[in-house]
Amino acid sequence: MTFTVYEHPIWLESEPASMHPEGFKITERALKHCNIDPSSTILDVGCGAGSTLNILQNENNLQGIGIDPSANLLSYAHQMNANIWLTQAFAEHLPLANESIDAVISECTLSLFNAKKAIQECQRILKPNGYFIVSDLYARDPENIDKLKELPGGTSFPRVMDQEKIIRLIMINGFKISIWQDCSDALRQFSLDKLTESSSIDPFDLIIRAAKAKLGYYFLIARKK
Amino acid sequence: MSDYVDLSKEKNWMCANCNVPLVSGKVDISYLGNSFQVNLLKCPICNLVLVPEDLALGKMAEVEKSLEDK
Ligand SMILES: [Zn+2]
Repeated sequence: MTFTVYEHPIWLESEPASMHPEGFKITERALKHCNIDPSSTILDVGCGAGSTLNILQNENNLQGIGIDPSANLLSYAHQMNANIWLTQAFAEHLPLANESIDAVISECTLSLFNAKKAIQECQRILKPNGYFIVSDLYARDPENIDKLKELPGGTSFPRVMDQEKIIRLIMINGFKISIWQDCSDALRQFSLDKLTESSSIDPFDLIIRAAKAKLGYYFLIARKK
Repeated sequence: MSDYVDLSKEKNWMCANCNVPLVSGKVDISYLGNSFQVNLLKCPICNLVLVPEDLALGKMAEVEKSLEDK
């Protein structure tokens, strides 16, 4: 059986939050800046095993829906919580109507997608003034971003962008940026075991290349114009 | 998991304290809080780890240098 990196069963063994640096804290911190209430519809784009959607539902009383390209992860998410609407889809082609969603969460997934197409799709489905909440890796040293491109595909690393590029892509596709916050400290305590186990990345290479590109982590909130 | 045990080079290593052959096993490594495991030769009794010279002088040295530059 072959798995893509994030479908690898090792991610499902322990608490699902371990897929993201600092677990859910960053998304929860971001949500506090948004005016979202229980009547809002929130899309988790690249929801994986549904851990963020469960937190939204159980701890924030918010009803989310999720899409992910992986049938394996969606079936796991469904087993964990059958009360969430999930569907198999790509971020670049969302099966949702124009202006139908109040907030989109993209947690550590933007650099796995074709970022431009995914941003355009999120813009299409969001209502005017809708929130686009993104957290992901970024390179704080754009001149050394190429060091990440040499890491194996199937992970975020080869497509990690720098701050200027991320902001530009979001702004030229119909958003205004409300908040950009660096959360790079979240990477400090991140265990690399599961990542190196599921992807065959050499952990020494990863640390060397991440240090050269000054790999960091951010969250941003953008509003649809 | 990354395996840094080259048995063709390292099969005859013994632990001088315990007088037993080193065996391949998981070793925890951590740099500035980022932890991971690799396979290295270690003593099954006292857990002394053998870091092969090319790893110590190669990738490990490079990691330390890149973290200093940070
Ligand atoms: Zn010993």
